[in-house]
Amino acid sequence: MSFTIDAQTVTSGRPPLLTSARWRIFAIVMVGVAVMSTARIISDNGDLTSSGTFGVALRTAAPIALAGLSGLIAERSGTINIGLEGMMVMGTIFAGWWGWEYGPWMALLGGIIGGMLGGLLMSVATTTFGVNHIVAGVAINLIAPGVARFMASELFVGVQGGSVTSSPGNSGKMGSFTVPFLSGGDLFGWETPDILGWFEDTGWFMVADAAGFMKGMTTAVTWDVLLTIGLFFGMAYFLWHTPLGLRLRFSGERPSAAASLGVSVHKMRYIGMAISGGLAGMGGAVLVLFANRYQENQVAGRGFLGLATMIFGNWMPAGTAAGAGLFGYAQGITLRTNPADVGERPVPCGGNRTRGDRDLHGVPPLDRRRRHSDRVLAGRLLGLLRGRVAEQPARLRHAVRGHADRRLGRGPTAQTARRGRHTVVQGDAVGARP
Amino acid sequence: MFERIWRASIAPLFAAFVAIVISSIALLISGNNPVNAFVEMWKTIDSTAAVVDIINTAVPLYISGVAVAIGFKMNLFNIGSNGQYILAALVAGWAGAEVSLPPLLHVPFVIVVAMTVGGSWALIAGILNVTRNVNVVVSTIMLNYIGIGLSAFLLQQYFRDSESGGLVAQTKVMPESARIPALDPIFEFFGFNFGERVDLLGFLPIAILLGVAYHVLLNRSLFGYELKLSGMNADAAQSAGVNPKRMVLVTLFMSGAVAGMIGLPFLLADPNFYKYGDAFPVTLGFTGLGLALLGRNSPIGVAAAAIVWATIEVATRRLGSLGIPPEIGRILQGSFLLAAVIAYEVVRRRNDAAAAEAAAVATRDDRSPPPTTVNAPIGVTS
Repeated sequence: MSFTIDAQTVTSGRPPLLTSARWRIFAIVMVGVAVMSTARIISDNGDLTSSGTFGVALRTAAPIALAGLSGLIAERSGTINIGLEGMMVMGTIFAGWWGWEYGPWMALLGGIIGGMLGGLLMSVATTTFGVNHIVAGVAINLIAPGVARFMASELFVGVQGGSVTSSPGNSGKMGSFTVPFLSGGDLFGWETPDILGWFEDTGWFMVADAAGFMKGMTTAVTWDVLLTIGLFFGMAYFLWHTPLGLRLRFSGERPSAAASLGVSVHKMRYIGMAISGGLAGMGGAVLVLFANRYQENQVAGRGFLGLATMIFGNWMPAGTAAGAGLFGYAQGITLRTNPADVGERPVPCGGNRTRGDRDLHGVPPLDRRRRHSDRVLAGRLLGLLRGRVAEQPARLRHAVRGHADRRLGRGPTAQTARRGRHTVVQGDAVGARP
Repeated sequence: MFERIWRASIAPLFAAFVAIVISSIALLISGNNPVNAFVEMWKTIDSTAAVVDIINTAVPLYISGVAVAIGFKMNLFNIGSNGQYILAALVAGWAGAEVSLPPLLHVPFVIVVAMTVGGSWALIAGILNVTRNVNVVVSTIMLNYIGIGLSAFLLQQYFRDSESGGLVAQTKVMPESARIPALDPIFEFFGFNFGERVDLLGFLPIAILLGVAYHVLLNRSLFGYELKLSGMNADAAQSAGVNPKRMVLVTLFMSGAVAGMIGLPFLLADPNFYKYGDAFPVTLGFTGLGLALLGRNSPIGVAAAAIVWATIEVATRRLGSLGIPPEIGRILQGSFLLAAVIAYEVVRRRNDAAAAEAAAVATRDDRSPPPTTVNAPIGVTS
């Protein structure tokens, strides 16, 4: 079996220009824009690709993206973070509290701290006591809404505008930023021309849609969303270009090997879960900043969506961001067409709530993910099923050599996972590739 | 016997202690007197009516716990019981109200419909797993959303009771023949009178039967043996001739089928419902996960967990009127769960260490091969 794998990777070599990954992505993007543009023209619904829609999409994608990034860090450091939904809930309650008391920036900080507490709590269970990751995560998910509700009843009840299910509202709003010249942002008090807006208004095939997308990404982007985008680059740099990041991934890939080389696996996993919890909590805070207040069940399954985007994105930051964008766009278009629906998808996860007609909105389309599912899921998920993320030697090989990271979830891993794992992988490692 | 019970209950007792300490601290921080709060909780549950209430609350929780436990036994995490039971309750509520059958057939018909729907919904994840190797945790979680969205759509478009008026979306009320009467008359026959307006709902015997069936399946059947074997060591099970794909499919179907029954106590036996609608409880599936973890997947354990859970729920109901936040119940439940999960793991490790020690001593003494200790996975009592 290992021979098949080797043969496959060896023969792949350097692919012809037009089938290389970069060209394929470019082609997919162009086809996507063309399809969207055609859909806009046929349906005569400008909102499909308007800058407003993309702006909202970016806003709604940010919490999911943060959740995905949180799951990514956790898994890279060797913990399956099913509890990240609960950590987001912790983030929302802390953000609602600090945002009400001290303002939007402290809301962000509070969310990070709240999520971090959840992450560390889970790490105590999984790392120190060795509890099954999924079990501990489920427990966190059940606890967090209870803690949030208790805190809300202590903090917000009896305050003007507050209740058990809602904070009184943040004191102040997070500022935003519009790029000058491209989207007409101010430059030292001078209103620059809105070039993309002009293109968008022309309604030209493909051009207007691309302009709408660009303008949506560059108009009135709030600082917390900008920070989210920055964090994606920051985390990618951290994980793949710093010593600590290497140790973190090492602890996730091969804990015993890491320990034998003097890396404290427990410490690394605590750090990983602290960062993971912090990111998830920040996702909750972004939700609070969007709604301008804490609301019960605000998270509404976004933690799980984040987990899905991470898998969709092949355990890589860029892919995760793309997956979150997909969900964000689905929610954005829902918000634009149903303004009354404030992005609240009532998904029962702790807390009692009644279900209404709103259930239908915002359920994201899943068909696009299906194509990836076999390839992407296969490698990791058998391990996930058995609670054995750590033991995936194919990934270690890549990590140590420091190249071809994009293939991590694919190629050898997927193959070996499908065919009975370790024994095969060992043979594969011996007959290493050139 | 006594020692066995003691060893099984030490971890939960310790967890309960931790939970009480944590919630006491939370109460102290919020400026309440913990002793006072616990005394009030005790007063609330210290009546026949409260006990009946606890049992009624515990029945759907128990079914929910068993549903998840079936999968957990095989290390197959069916996180999707929530979507499964909502969809099942909707379809069963609709189908049950549409047909007219004699009472002895009507109730089983509704149960079979609910189990089929729940099982089929879970089976989607199973099929994805065996054909495309999609992870069960992720696919069941995501199927929750699809199931909930689908049920909202179906209710709105097709299954809605058109005569009940425009605003409330709900299915038709079940006909008389599909309702299970309360158990009060039976108890009155033996001289127990619960009092006015206190009904012991009639789904309890079915839940007990379910528990017995689960026990028999697990401990007295070939399938149960294969199930536990696959959970303990999947590779060993496979080399012993257990077909892993078949196990995944059958287990998920059974787990989903039982999950489909979670909503039935409300549909068939609760006078406040007899229908699927807006007020229908929608988070029982997630609670079941916690109960299966607490009860370590054993029929008795899950029952005990469900009763503890229901007791906390009932006990904290009246706290609000005394100025104590009733949310303390959630803290109590949550910290109990986490502490229990950790305590089980610690106890298991200690047992493993003791077994290893004994094995080492044995080899030193008579050079006989050490007894192999199975590194039991979560939830498998050693």
